[in-house]
Amino acid sequence: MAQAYGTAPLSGDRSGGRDLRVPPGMQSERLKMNDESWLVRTIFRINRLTGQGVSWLLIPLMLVIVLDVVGRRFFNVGSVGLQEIEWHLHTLIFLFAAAYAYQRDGHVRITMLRDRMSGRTKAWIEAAGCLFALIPYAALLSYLSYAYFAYSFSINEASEAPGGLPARWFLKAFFPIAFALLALQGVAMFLSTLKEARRRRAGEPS
Amino acid sequence: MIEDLLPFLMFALMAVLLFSGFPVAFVLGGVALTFGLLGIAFGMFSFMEFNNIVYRIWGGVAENVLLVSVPMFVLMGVALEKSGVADDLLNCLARLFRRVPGSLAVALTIMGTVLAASTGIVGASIVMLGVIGLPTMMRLRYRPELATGTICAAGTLGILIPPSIMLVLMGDLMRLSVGDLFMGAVFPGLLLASLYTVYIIALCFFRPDFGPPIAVVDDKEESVLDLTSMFLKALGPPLFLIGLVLGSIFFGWTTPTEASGVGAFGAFLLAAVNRRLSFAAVKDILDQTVITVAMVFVIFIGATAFSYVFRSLGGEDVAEHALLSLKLGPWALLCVLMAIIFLLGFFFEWLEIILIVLPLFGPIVKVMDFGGHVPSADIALWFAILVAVNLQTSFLTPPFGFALFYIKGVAPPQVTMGHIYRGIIPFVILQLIGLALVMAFPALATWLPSVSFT
Repeated sequence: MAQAYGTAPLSGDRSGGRDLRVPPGMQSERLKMNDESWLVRTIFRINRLTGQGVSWLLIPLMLVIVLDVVGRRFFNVGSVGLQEIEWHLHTLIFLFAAAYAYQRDGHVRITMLRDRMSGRTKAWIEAAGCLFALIPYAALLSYLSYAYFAYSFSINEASEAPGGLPARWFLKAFFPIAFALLALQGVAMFLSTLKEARRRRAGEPS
Repeated sequence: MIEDLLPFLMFALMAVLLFSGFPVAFVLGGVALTFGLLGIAFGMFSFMEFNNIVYRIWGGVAENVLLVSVPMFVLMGVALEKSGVADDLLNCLARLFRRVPGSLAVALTIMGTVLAASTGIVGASIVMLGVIGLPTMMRLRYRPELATGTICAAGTLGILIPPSIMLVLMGDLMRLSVGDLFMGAVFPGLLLASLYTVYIIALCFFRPDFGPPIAVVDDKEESVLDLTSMFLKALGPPLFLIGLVLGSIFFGWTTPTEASGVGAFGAFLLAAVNRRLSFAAVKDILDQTVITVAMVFVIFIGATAFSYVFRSLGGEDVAEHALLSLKLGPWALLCVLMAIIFLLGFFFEWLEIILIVLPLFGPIVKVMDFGGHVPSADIALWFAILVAVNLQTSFLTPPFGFALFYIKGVAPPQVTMGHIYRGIIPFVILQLIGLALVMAFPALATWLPSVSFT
């Protein structure tokens, strides 16, 4: 099974005191935060702050849509600028929530075999996955989208639609940053799970 | 030689690695990167082509007003769930249906349908129905099989009944109007809810031991006015919001994106009226929404990368060729595609299936011809709705249906996984009957879009 939607969007009290979003094995991860190195803690902290920060953009996004609808239907003033603000906000939200969702274990996993794995196996898989899949993938996207931004900046790209927003490159500048943060979250997860895997091999109680 | 095998290897490696339990989105990205590099080594791909992935993320995911409706529908669902509208709903419905066999199960099915049309978040619906309904059903000596089966089936309607983010993504991927998909899913969704209801009533009528009738304590009739006012108070607010969102799409007043923003705003208003909108609650709502949204789009980006490399290596042609070389008639081919999706549903959920598998089926669906049964202009829409009904089933199919694990999470300890597995089987059969009906009567899916103004 996979966790569709990734989250059980309900507070813990309704799910029998268990936080359904955090599968067993990852729960201990968060409690062990104090053992983590300065680097790991800092990356977690940065991504938590950016993720929670962009979550507040949902409110202006909602209000902009309402404003756009009211203007369009009742006052007959459509605004291309408002519509562009909508997807600009949306893009910022999902870009910068990506790493935060990973540290909250919000990304879908196929858990059918995972449920039967020991904590040590899970930790090894997570470390290997970060090293061989997530970090190179996110780093590549960051590198490529930097080039994409740089070109846009060099021609001072703006919206082609009349009444659209100027400075299209401004939004594109956030792509390399967000993918770099995702890669960094991968680095933090790698260090953290590698440590956990080793600790468990050393026979320490988990 | 190896060049021909690369797409197979790519798909196989992805499938194997998905079972490692590492996040699907990152497995897709990692496999795309690996096979992109292998493709470069074999001269089938160039590093420059990786740039196209970024163009696609920009053009397909960022610069796409339609997808803005995803965070807004999620926000609307989470906010409604916190607004406390569900609390009186079950109580009210149970009293309304108290003379019907299996009254509580029927009430839960109807409540699931209403929740489906208001939140569309499957995890939330199941946990909510389970927490509110399961203890009561157990107390009234319902068989755990019937109780859990009803909740799982009714709770997963949210994926099908609009507004549903699955339909938004399907519309985007299949280049169909999301408004049409929303309208097309209304009757199939209601059909499934009716099938559940008929089954529950029939079962409890012939076998009262499955769902014993409620002893009606105070038999004196409540005044009709009392009942009506209670009903309006409980059902009014969610029904109003559903009517607002779906109605404005149906009549073509708003696009799905606009409707989603207004719907989210309405849900916040309801929560505020019910005095549930503290700062902590808002923070919680935003937090859950943003994680769900990131989950959807990170996997979207991973699937974009995967599909791009897979296509460049010729994978799509291989898949199309393999299916067309079976030389099946349109009905047999349709049944094969449905069977593939149904079987994949045992292991995967809708997001992986629509992002990875559906694009492979697209070209095949385009060339299918059902003569007078379905006009060729409607085939894509009809097919999409069939897939949607099929994917709803994927939540329910043991052993890995996601609904089953959510209900286990909130069930009292005496309810075992065995009860849940046995309980869901009749509902999976009902799903297949529903799927067959929509296949046999395409108008179920195509009529409402044809008369709406989307």
